[in-house]
Formats: sequence, structure tokens, C-alpha cells
Amino acid sequence: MASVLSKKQKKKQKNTTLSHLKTLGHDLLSSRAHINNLPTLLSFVSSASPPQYVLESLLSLQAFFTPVLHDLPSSSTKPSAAPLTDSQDDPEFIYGTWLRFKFDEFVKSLIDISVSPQSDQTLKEVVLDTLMEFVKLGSGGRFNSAIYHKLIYAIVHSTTPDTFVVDLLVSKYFKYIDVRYFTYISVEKISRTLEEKDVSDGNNWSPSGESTENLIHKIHYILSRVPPLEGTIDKTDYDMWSGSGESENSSEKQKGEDKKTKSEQYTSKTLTAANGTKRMKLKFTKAWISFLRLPLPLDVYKEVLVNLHLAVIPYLSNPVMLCDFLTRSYDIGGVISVMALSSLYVLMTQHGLEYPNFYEKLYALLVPSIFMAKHRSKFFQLLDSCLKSPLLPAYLAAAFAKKLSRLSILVPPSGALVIVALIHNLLRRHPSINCLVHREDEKTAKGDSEADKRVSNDSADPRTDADVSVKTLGVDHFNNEENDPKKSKAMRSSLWEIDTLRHHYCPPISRFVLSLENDLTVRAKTTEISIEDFSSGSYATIFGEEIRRRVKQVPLAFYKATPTSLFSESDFAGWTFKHEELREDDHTVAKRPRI
Amino acid sequence: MAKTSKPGGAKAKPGKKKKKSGPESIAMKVQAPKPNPFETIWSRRKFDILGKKRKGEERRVGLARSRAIEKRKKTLLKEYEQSGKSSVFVDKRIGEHNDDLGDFDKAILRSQRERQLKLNKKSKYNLSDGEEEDFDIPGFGALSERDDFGDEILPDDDDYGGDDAADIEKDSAGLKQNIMEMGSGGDENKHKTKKEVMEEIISKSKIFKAQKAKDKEENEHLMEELDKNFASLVQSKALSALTEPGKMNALKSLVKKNIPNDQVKKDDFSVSQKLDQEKPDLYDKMVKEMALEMRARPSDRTKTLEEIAQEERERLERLEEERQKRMLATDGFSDEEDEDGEKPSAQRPRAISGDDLGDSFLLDEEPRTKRGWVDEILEKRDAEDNDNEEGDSSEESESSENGSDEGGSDEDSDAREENPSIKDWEQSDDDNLETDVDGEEEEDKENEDDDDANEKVMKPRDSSKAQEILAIKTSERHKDSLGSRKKNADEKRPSTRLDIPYLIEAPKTLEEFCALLDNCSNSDILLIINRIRAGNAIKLAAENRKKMQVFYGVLLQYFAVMANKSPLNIELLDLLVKPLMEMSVEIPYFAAICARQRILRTRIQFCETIKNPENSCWPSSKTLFLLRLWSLIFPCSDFRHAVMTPAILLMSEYLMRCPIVSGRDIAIGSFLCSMLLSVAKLSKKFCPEAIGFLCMLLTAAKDEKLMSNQNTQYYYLMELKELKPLLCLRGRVNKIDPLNLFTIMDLPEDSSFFDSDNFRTSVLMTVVETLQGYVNIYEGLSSFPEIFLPFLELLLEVAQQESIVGPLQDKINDVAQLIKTKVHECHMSRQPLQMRKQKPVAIKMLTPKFEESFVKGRDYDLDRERAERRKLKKLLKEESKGAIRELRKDNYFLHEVKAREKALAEEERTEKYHKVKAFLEEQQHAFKSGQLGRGRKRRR
Repeated sequence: MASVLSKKQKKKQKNTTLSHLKTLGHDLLSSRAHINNLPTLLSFVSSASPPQYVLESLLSLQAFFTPVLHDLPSSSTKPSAAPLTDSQDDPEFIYGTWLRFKFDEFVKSLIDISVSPQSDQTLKEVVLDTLMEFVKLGSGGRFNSAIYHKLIYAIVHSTTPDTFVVDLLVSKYFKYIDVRYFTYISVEKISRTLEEKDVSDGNNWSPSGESTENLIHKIHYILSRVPPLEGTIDKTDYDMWSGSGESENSSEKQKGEDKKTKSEQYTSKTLTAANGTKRMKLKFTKAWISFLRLPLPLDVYKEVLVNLHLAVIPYLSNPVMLCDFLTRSYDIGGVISVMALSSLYVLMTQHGLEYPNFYEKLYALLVPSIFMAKHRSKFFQLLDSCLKSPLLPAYLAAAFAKKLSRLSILVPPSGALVIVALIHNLLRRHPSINCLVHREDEKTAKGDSEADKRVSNDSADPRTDADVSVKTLGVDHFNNEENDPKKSKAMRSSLWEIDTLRHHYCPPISRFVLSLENDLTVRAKTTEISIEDFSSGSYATIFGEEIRRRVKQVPLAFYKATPTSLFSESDFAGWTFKHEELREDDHTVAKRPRI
Repeated sequence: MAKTSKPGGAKAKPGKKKKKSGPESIAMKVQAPKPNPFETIWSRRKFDILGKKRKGEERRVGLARSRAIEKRKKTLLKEYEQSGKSSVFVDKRIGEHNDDLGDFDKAILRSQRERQLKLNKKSKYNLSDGEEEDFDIPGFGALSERDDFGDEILPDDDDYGGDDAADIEKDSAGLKQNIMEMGSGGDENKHKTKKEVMEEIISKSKIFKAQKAKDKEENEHLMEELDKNFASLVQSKALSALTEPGKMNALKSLVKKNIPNDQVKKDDFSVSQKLDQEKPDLYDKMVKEMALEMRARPSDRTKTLEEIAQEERERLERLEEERQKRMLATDGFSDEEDEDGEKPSAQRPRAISGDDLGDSFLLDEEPRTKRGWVDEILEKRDAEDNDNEEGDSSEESESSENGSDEGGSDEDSDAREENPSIKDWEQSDDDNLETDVDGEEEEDKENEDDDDANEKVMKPRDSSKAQEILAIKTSERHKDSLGSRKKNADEKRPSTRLDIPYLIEAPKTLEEFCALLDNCSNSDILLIINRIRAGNAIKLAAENRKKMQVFYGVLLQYFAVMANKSPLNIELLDLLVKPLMEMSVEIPYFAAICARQRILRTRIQFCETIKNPENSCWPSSKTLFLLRLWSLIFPCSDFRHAVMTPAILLMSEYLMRCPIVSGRDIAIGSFLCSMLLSVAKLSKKFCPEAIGFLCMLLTAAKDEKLMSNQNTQYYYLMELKELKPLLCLRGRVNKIDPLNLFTIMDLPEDSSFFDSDNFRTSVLMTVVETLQGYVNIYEGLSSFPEIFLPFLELLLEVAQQESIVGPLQDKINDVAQLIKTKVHECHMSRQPLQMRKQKPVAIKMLTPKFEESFVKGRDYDLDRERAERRKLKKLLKEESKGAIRELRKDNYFLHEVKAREKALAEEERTEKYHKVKAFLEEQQHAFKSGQLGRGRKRRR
């Protein structure tokens, strides 16, 4: 420390105030007599003063506080309780409380600097290091959660969108398990208070809405950047910030043996391997759950949903706790539902969540806009895997197939490809719904059965029945607007839309539809189509494929008489292509930027 | 050679020979030996039965049998004879076993070998005895020298040997045999001595010479006969019909000379012998003359495309030269001359050509009038505002300059991108390389090219300056001749054309091309393009293909630039269509690559612009026009086309992804729908994007009050495009004008026109018309009701609004009715899908399958492999049968031989027996009769 200090001194020799500061600091460190230098130095530690001064005073103060920190009364909050104790009038004690007070002041100003937008980045780094040092030494060698919580709170509540401090924290300190642990605790606290505030505010939170959103952003930023703990943590893999510091301290400053053992006891108590994991998980879960209870702004919501099943669910102590949140999101509908689906799927498949109306909701998600949505690729894959079970009732599979095929006449080519693939898989998995693509001609069936009927001598009734059926054979009984797959009458329909796709302008589609012609009930001869190949398709992919094709031959259009004009009105009903005499003002029209 | 060893065979052979030679001596010398009468028999057939074929009819059974027997005698019999013997005679003479070699060849080979042996060192110092020397001379002496001698030497051989080579061979074989017999007289099994071999060779060569002499004689005889015939032919005038009359005389006179000769020859052979010397000359002469003169002359063949192109180019070259001349001597020209020179180019060469006949005037008139009416229409307007023509043209030039300046960046980038790609395509056209080539390399190349191009540009510019001067002059003349409009129009055309060079090097860059087109009217531009095309036709030279490809790219770029101009020059665009299409026909591959690159680039740009939601990302007029152009050039109905498939995809993507911001966007979108309709018309391809877009437009036309029930499936598109009810009519309009695309493209985005009810009504009309088109082409689709039923509701709702004008309402109701009926029809006719329907297994047909034009013996089996196998099997069977037959015959033959031997032995034995018996009898007789002396002696 001292060597560093001397270096800095040499650098800033010219500056008289700086040297003055240095002497002040030096005096402070040399004896208690110069204790009054402390407030002076403290006054320099603010974001307003020039960084060199801040740095200088900070270094002196840190050097001053570090050794005395252990002897200080435990906390500044205690003075209220302190009067009850015996040693109130002890000057040493008064000095101690004063020091504690100054120390708190010092910490507060440090936190202010670290979150204030105008302070320098390097300065912030130094400040953060100092803070973390204090955190380490804070309460008698233990992790000083109060200071840390203050820091996190300040970060979260800072109005600046600057994430520098958080990044610094992430890169430097989040590798320490206790830092993470206390981060979770702080975050949980903060979000809980926020939630309470929301509840108490009720409906008039709109003025603070902006700031709340900001807070939530910050919290999410921190939370999403805390590295997750791996399944079973090995203690050796994880350094303890406070513990490591302790050993350093002990070697450097020759601390008392008892303190060291005490701290070690503490660490071993709090975070033994198995116990630690459990507690860690618990805190993690608490933090996330309390965070997710907040009214998340849309972008955070989406981001959370996207990452939930990868970054959060595996590390939760009890993932099913998320089901409230997920079902709520799933019920919202639209894009949010689609995004919630992946986490929900994980919960359902791996954690035994039961969700009674899942398929109804899934069915309701099938709207044309899904084929233009951003996360469609994942959705289609999930849809395919959700429909994978052969235990699904036929009506459900049929409803999905029919709904998809109905969508196929509305969606862009890439969507149509996915639909054909999905239907292909559905037909293959559920032989019972093959009536959608193949229904025996009822006339012939009738012809066959007529002989039997004649024997059973009630020929009049079935004939009228048959006539009716012939009449309505072409009518699609499928109810597209119905949200309940049970009531959609899909089984009585037929996938005419798939037949229509054969005439699609896009060659890959019309080719692909032919794959449905194979008898998919013969499972041995057919294979499932992997949805991944198609789910991420778009205009770009299809267009790219067409462009990438090698031009082998180029037929040209044939005309009896070569057309002489670009447009003919016979081709374009409702248009005219007369060349009008352009008005003068048209000449002056500036050329607009066009594509 | 071994014939002597077997008595039976030897006996049979001479017998035959005698038979042959017997009649031979009686018959004519030349005749072949009389064949075995059994061999001549073809078949015995009593009646000729139509259509019946008998086995063995086509070959001579007897002959074949005798041949087979001969063969066996040569092979099997010899083996048989050798079978009991321990030593073998090996014939090691050169070429003796080679059947291909003739006797003479054999002899040559042998003598060569002899020479080689002689040249060996060993024998170098050997003194030759006379005999060998003798041999040497006949072998290698000039044959011609010894001709006569040879003739005389072998008279007997001559009558012995016939004409045929076979006979000679037989003879030689006989001779050989003789020799062999001679040789084998001493010791049968001894190898032939060298001398014997030599003798044999000598005799062979003699035979050959005799043969040759005979041939020569024969030829002479034939020639004589031919001459005679020819003379008579000439006299008989049969030839005169074939030959030219003029030539005939000469020929006749020649033959006349000949005829007496012939006659003389007939009279006296000795004289003819004397004339023989000159007769061949005459004949040769005649032949030569005939060969030279009488060859049929081919008529003028039809010209190939290359030649036509060549002629066209030559014509243009000539015109160019004249133009250059005229340009230098401007003042000396009178008006008339000018006019002459300015006549349509097709006329020019005819006027010059010396042997111009009256009829060509008619031809002259025609093209002129033809040209006239096309151009007149186009230039009528120009003629009207002739006064400010100059101003106009300068303005035009300015504007074009401006355009190029303004579009500088665009063009620049265009050019940058275009050029490398062009080069790309050229390469790929030639050797089908992958189109990805290093960009840097291309850049370099391009830069070089640019430099080149700049140099080249310099020249045309100079000339264009001169042309400008000319143009001013001619325009002055215009003012004078303003009098009659017709004349004016006539003159105006040539005058502008005057400064167009006839032969134009194909421009390599757009700047070059623009410089060329500076100050030109539309028709002139077309003319320039046509001249460039004619001057650089691909058929003319190989390198022109490259030029034309570059020019095609330039022209397309020009088209694009023109399409992007603010006041659209529609006429010019229309005019450009034709050359572009025709050129695409010439270089289809390149055209397709060009189009694909442009489409790709347009799409990339589109993707860039759509990222920014403020921009209107709907296609520009350039893109629209290009898309339309390609849909004209390339067939739209192909299942998959290199250009049209990406183009349709792009159009659909526009419809799907572009947000609608203004009325202009609506207009462009509905125009894209119409374009897709025209593209999909033939193939009836299903295009969901267009349908969705139309539906959305109709939704937008609904009243805002009605907007509440948005449960239609197409509503999502509205969300996508954030569409307000832009098309909702607020007031009634009096009449519906069809939308004019060009006006719309020219109007700015915020023009008040797009806010007017007029526009809305027109758009609605267009939309309904387009919808009708789609309804008509999609009626065959099986999900027609699902596609169009949402429309029905919408249309009825829209039609209910009070602000809809009568005709539009009628139209909407019509289309709604149409949809209703079609949906009903579809519902009635539609059947559930039967995709998995297996084809019923056909019952095995028992009726024979008749083949049209059946050929017997051909295998009609469809399974080629089986047919092949069967063929092989048949062959195998045939072969094995043949082999069995052969073996059987061999056995039979051998058996016969054995029997003959046995019979012979038996005969000998009996003879001997008889002899002995006779002797004994005689003895007995003598004994009994008392001739005691002898008998007694014997007895003892």
C-alpha cells in the first residue's frame, strides 16, 4: 500500500493541494492527534471534486480505516441501542462511534461516487475495489452484507443507464460465491420492497412507473449476469471473497489467531458444499421469484421468457414454483405465450407439472401471425414435440392438423413448408387421423353395403342418409373460429388446403406436399421430418435457395408477336397505362428517393 | 504333301481332278473347272409357294457339304493319319500357315529373309554358285523387263491356270504338289532342301507374272471395247442431252475424227494398232474436258444467318463510309443529294448497284412506307412542337445529364456492381464457372476496362461534336421547311438520322451509351440500338458475343435508369422492350444471370430499407418495370424458372412484409397483385400473399364502425401493416377512372391525390377487378371456399356502404355473386381427399397383346435383360447343336475313312487270297495233269 502511495505522491508532486492532501493523510495515519484531518479528507471524497483529490483522500482514508475497522462498534445503526450499554461515556467508545459514523459517511460517499454518472471510470474502479475491501473486512472479518446491500441498492436505484459498475462487479467479484450469495439476497430484498411499494401504490404508480421500469431493468441486468451455479458445487472451485481476503489479511497484517479461526468457522458454517448449494439455490430461487413478481416491462418480460428455461429453471430449488408466472404468461396470448411455452414445456416434461388446458391454449396459439414472429423456430419445434405423444386423442391431432392446413393458405412460403412438415409428422404419429387425407369414397362404400342393406330391407332410410352425405361431402365442417379443438369437428373434414398447396407458386412447397402422398401409416417405410430443417425458414432462406440454384437452362417466353409495350391493359384489369401529357408541375417535382 | 502316304485319299483326289480337268480341256479356256453337279443344286422345289420359306433354301447344301468334307480332309483326316505316327513333318516355311498372304507375298517375304541371311557376315565371303545368282535375278530384277520373257516362258501354265485367283492357287498347289512329289521322291519324310524351296518360289513368281500378263491383255481388250462403245454413244446423241450443246459440237468433231479411226481399226487391225498410240490422248482429253466442264453448277444456296449478318454489317459499313464522306464535305451537298443520302438505309445499296432494274423501284417504295407509318406516329407530336424542338432536346439532354448526376451514386454503384457481375457472367457463360469470383480481382479488371473504355469513348465524342454542328444546320433547314407537315416529317426523320453513325461500336458502359444517345429522340435511340445490334451481331464473330453481353447489361441498366426517372419516358421504355426481348433470345443464359443478379440486389436493398420502419419500402418504378420486363421475357408458367421463381418470390415478399403507410403504397401493392395475377394466370399458381393483401385492402375499405369484428383470418395482416381504414370512402364520386400506373409512380407520396375519394374508388375498383381475376383462375383449387369465403362477407359489407358508387357497387356485387356460385359449385363437386388411394390391381389379361408392325424374330419382351438372356441361351443351344452335329459328321467321316481303309485292306486280302488260291489251283492242276518236273520240285 505504502509503495503505491509513494508512487502516486511522486506523480502528483507539483500540485500543491495534492501534496497538502498527502500530508494531511500522512498525518492522519501517523497519529491520532491529527484525527481532525479525517473530516477534511472526507469532504474531498465526493463525485464533485476532481478525481485526483478523491483518489488521494480515498487512499489515505482507506489506509486509515482498514486497521481500525475491527475495533469499531459493530454498526452505526446500533447507537440507538448503545446508550443502554454501560460504556457510553467512555471516551474511547465515543471516539469509536464517531469513527463509525465517519466511516459510514465515507462508505456512503464512496457509493455515491460509484453510481454517479459524472465520476471517472478508473475512479469508479478504485472506489469499487475499496468498497469491496470494506465489504470483506466489514463486520469483523465477515462479509459485510450491509455495505454490500447498500451498494447494490445504490446501483439499482441509480438513474443512469450506465452499467459500468455492474460489469465491473460481474467481471471482478461475481466469481466469488459469497458475493453472489449476498447479491441474491440484496436483489430479493430490493424486489420485495418494490413489490410492496407497488401493492401499496395500487393504481397510482404511474408517475413512478418510469423509475420502476428502470429499476426492474437494472435488477434484471444484475440478475441475468450473476453466473449460475453448477449442479453440485465443489467447494474448491469457488473462492470466497471474504475468506480469501481474510487469509490475505492474516498474512499481511498479522491478525489475531482467534479472528482467523472465527472467520473460518463462519465460512465453514455458512457454505459447506452440500449445505451451500442448497442455500445458494434457495436464495437464487427467492431472488428470481420475487423478481418475476414485479410488473415486468415488455422487453424485459420477453428477455426473461427467452432465457428462463436455459438460465433459470435448471438452478431453481423447486422449478414448479415458476408455474404461476409461466401460466400467467401463457394465458396472456400472442407472442408472450409462445415464448412462455418453452419454459412451460420444460416444466411439464421434466418437473411433472400438470397443466390441464395446455393443448387448448396451444391450439389457440395457432394464428397466422405466428408464422411471421421472431421466435417461430423454437415454437414450431416445441409444437412438434408437444404433439409427439402417441397418446393424444385423435380429435386433438386432427384439429391441429386441420388448423395448420387452414393456416397454410394464408402464410408465407416458409410457413407453408413448416406446416407441411408438421402435418406430415402428425399423420405419421397418429394413423387414426389419416382419414383427413384419405377417405374412402362413400359412393363405392355405399355400393358395397347396398347389397347388405337390401337384405336387411330398410333401404329407404340409408339412401336418404347417403344422399345427404354426398351433398355435404364437399362442405368443410371444420370450424376455424372455434377455440376448442374438441368442438372444431376436424375429424369430419379433409385437408383440401394441402391439396391446394400443390399449386403453390413456390416450387419447394409443391414438391414437398408430395411427401404426404406416401402412406404414412406404414411406419416402417417412412421417417419423421425433423422440424428444425424448416422451422427457421423465411423468405430469405427460400429466396437464397432459389438464387443459389445453378442456372442450367433458360427457357424464354414465346410470343407469336413480340409485345411492343411494357404493360397492356388487358393483362391488368382496372389499370390504365396511357401516357398522359405530364403537367408542368410534375416536371419540377424533385426526385424522391426510391428503392 | 502327305497325300501320298494315304492311298485312299490320294486315289479319290486324282479321280476328282480328272473329272475336273476332263471337261476343262473340252470347254473354253477361261471357264472355271466344271463344278460338281451336286454342288450346284440349290434345292428341290416343285412348287413356288408364296410366303413360304424352306430351310436350307438360301444356301447350297451340296456345295456346303463338299466344302465341309474338304475341310475335314484337310484337318481331321490329317490328324487321323498322324495319330498312329511318332514323327511329325513340320512345315516351317515362312508364311505357309498364314492364309492372308498371297503366294507372291509369301515369296517376297521369303526372298527378303534370304537376302538378310545373305547379308550376314557369315555368308559375306561365301562365293556364290551360279544357281543362287540365277535365283537372285528373277527375284529382284525389274518385272517389266522380264514381262515378255515370262509370257513366253509359261505357256503351259497359262492354259492350266484359269482367271480366278482360286484356280491359280489350286494350280500352284498342284505345282507345289508336283514339286513336293519330286522332292519326296528321294526321301519322303526329309525336309525340303533350300534348293527346293527356291524352286518353288521361282515357280510361284512365274505363275504370278503370267497372271499379270493375262490381266493386262484382258484390260486392253476391255478398253478397246469401251472405246468402241463410247464412239457409238457419242454418235447416238444420247450424250448430247446431258451435255452442253456448244461443247457437244467440239466433242462430236472430235469423235468424228475418231469414228473413221474406229472404222479403220475395224477394217484393219494393224492400222488401229498404229493409231492406238494417239487414241488414248484424245480420249484423255475428252475425259479431262468433261471433268472440267460438265460438272453441274450448284444454284445459289440460301444464305446462312452468318452471311445475312455479314451482309448487314457490310451494308452498314458502307453507309458509314459514305456518312463519313458526307460529313467532311458538308457544303457541297444539295438538298436532293441529301435526301438521297437520307433515304432509309435499306434503299441505299440498291441505288448504287449498277444493274438496277425497274422492278427494284417497287421494292424501294415498300420499306419506305413501312418505315414511315411507324415512325410517323411517333414523330407526329415532335413535328408539332417542332419550334421548340431544339430547346426540348437540350432540355432533354440536360435532364438526362441531371439524371445521371443525381443518380450518380446509384448509377455508380450500379455500374460497380454491374460490371463485375457482367464479367462474371461472361465467364460463366463460357465455361460455366461458379458465379462467385473474387471481388477484388473483378475490381481491378473493371478498372482496366474503364480505362480502355474511356479511350474508346473519346473518339465517338469527337464525332458527336461534329454531329452536333450538323444537327444545328439541319435544324435550321427545318425551320425553312416548316411548310408542309408531311414533308416536314419526312425530312425530319432523315435529318436526325443523319448524325447517327451507321456502324456503332457496342458501348461498354452506361456513360458511353448515354453519350451516344445524347440529344436523340426516342425513335433515334431505337435506331441506334438496332444498329449496334446489327453491327455487332453475335453471328458475325465470336468476340461479338461478349460485346453483346456487355451491351445487354448496359441496355438493361439504361432501361432501369430510364424507369427511375421522375417524369417517366414511357414511349422510350416501351421501345426498349423489343430490343431487350430480342437480345434475350440471343443470349438467354446471360439475360437470366443479369436478371437474377438484379433481383438479388433488389432484395438486398429491400431488406436494408425494411429495417428502417420510416422508409417506404415498396418497390420503386424501376423495380416494377424490371419485374414486368422479365415476366415478359421469361415464361411465367414454368414450374421452376431461373428468373421467374425468384421474381415471384420477391413480389410476394413485398406484399407480405411492406408496411402500408400511404395511399401510394396501396396503389403499388394492388398493382403488384395485378402483376402476380398476370404471372399466375397461365399456370394458376396459388399465391397466398396476393390474396391476403387484397383481403386486407377490402378490410381497409370498411367503415370504421364495422372494423370492430375483426375475427377474419386475414386480420393479422392488418396488424402487421398497421393499416388504418385508408380506403374507407367518405364521399361519393361521380365517375371511376381506372388508375394510371405512370401517374401514380410520378406522384409524390404525400400528394393530395392519394387522399381523394376518387383515388379510393379507383383503387377499390382495381382491387375488385383483380379479385375477380383471382377468383377465375383459382376456381380449380380444392380449397376454393376456404380461400374466398372471407371475401364474400367483406365484399357484401363494403357494398353496403352508402358512399359506394353505383358501378362499383354493381361490380362488387357481381364478384360476390361469382364467389358465391363458385363456392357452391365447389362444395357440390368436392370430394374428401383420397391421397392414399392405391391403384386397383389389374386382372391378368388373357387376350394376346398384338404388336403393331410385328417383325418376326424380334424379341418383344419388355424386360431387356431377360431378352438378352434368352438370346444368349438360344445362341448357346444353337452352338451346342452345331457342335454336336459337327462331331457327328466328324465321326461319320472318320468312320467312312476307316471303312474305306478296311474295304481296301479287305480287297487287298481277297486279291492276295485269290492270287494264292489261283496259284495253288494251278499247282494242283499241274500236279494232277502231270507236269511233274515243276510240280515235283515245288513239292519238295
